[in-house]
Amino acid sequence: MRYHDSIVRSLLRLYPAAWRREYGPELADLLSHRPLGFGVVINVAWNAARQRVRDAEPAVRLGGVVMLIILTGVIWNIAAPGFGGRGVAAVIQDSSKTLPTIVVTALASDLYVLTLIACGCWTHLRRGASVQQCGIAAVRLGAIAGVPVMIVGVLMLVGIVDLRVVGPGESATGGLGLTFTYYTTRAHTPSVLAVLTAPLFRLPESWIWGMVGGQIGRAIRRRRHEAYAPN
Amino acid sequence: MARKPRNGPASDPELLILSSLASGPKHGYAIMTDIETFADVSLGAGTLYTAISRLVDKKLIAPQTSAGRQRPYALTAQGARSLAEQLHDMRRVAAIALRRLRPA
Repeated sequence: MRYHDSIVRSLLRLYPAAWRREYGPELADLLSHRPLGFGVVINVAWNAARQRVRDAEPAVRLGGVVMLIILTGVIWNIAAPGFGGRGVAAVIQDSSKTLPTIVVTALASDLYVLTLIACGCWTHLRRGASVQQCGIAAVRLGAIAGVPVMIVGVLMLVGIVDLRVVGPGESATGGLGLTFTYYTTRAHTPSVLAVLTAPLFRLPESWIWGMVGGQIGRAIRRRRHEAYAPN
Repeated sequence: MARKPRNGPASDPELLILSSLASGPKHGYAIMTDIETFADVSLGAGTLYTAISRLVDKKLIAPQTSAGRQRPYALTAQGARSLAEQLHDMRRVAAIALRRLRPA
């Protein structure tokens, strides 16, 4: 019985705190009167995950999606550098500016800018957040999205992952252990610090695009009010 | 023995909960057993409470005060209207589909 209760408590902890306060005692009571089979545990865990996604802020949801795309590139880069290395797996690339010397490919795209604007707009429409708060939400998105690259930087720093620089026409295959491949057109070797801080350089710009999204959200909200206001 | 939920609009958890509450307020366990009886659908505890919380957010059902751990839920006027609309739509589509299935 104590084992049963501890599983129920663990399952309830998977839900967001606000949801747990509202429905936790009822769900716990229901679960304590039924056998806890594998199907029941999976059902509760799956619904807890859905609830967490539903309750998450737009910045966390969108940041999670961008982070997964970058993480896929990092895994692909390390596991199979010879296959399409200049596509998804080219996680970082040369920068056209003096500082930073490298940029995270996904965070340098126009689609990412649109994601930041959408984040600001969505944050305003969902919470009625101020334009500044929409900018901060976009910065949070950028910080979440950049986590895989920063992890690669830390792993390089402690010597678990090696950096291999591949120039035009060179092969990315070969080498022992965990190797992160950097594809360059300028035969330039980035420092570990450059890899570690590459996502951070994008944060101030994220703030601006988030505020732009917040302004768009405000305009949409004003339009809606005007449309529904009595004449 | 848990029965496998069938697919289709009649196995939608929100519709089933609204249908169960059409006969009066019930708490979670009573909703679950009622649905098993009238629809032959077994809702998981997680699915049930996810759907209940969503219906509360949409103001289609409302929790009642209770001394016990299980709160009863009741249909709101908006919930009753929404259920009636959904059932009328389903009946209209079902009638047309059945007429078309009938051999000429």
